[in-house]
Amino acid sequence: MPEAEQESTPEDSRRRLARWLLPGGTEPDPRMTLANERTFLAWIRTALALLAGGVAVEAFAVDMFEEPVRKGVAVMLIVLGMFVSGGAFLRWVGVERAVRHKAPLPLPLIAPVLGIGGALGAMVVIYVILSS
Amino acid sequence: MSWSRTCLALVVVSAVFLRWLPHYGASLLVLPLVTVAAAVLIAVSQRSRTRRGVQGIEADRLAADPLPVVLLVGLSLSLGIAGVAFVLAAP
Repeated sequence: MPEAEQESTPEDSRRRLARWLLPGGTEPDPRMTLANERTFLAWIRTALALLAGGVAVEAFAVDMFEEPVRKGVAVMLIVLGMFVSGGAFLRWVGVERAVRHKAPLPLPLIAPVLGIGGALGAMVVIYVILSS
Repeated sequence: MSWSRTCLALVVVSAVFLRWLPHYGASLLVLPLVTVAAAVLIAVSQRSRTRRGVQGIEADRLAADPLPVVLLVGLSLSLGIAGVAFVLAAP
């Protein structure tokens, strides 16, 4: 840890988007920034997997489900993926702002949303399989 | 490595969209091409990104760059919207 945090210079040299999204504060430990980015990428990969899964359900589960159910599950997975993407971005911004201002980290909400959404999807699929 | 794994995930997603190629024709190729282009951009910029991170750790100062984050989220959301549209319109 540095003896003194480096303050943002009066002429903030960051690009405009960074100044707008992450205003004020001081530059945090670079390892925090890199760890935050890695976590964001992990969530994005989860979102992409849900997206691919939704397309795969529509494409390859033709004989398993009726069309409305198949499309419903596919759309639900894709929309869940979009929520995870948006949530990952909001989480990245929230954490980056928090560490810049030495504030408590925001509560992670993606995990419970993803857990509930995944559980609901699984229950729908189980119900359809058992009732067919 | 995180960016490399994300790059691979984008390539996989682009391949999945090819499922609709017989139905929608060549116009569908825009989606996988854009996704693969994003993956290539990530791969090409990997070295400079690593160098920037190492220099930031050495200098104990690294400004977060939101541009790649915003672009990646935008691409992911766009793919989701396109995915929903294709799923609902598919036979």
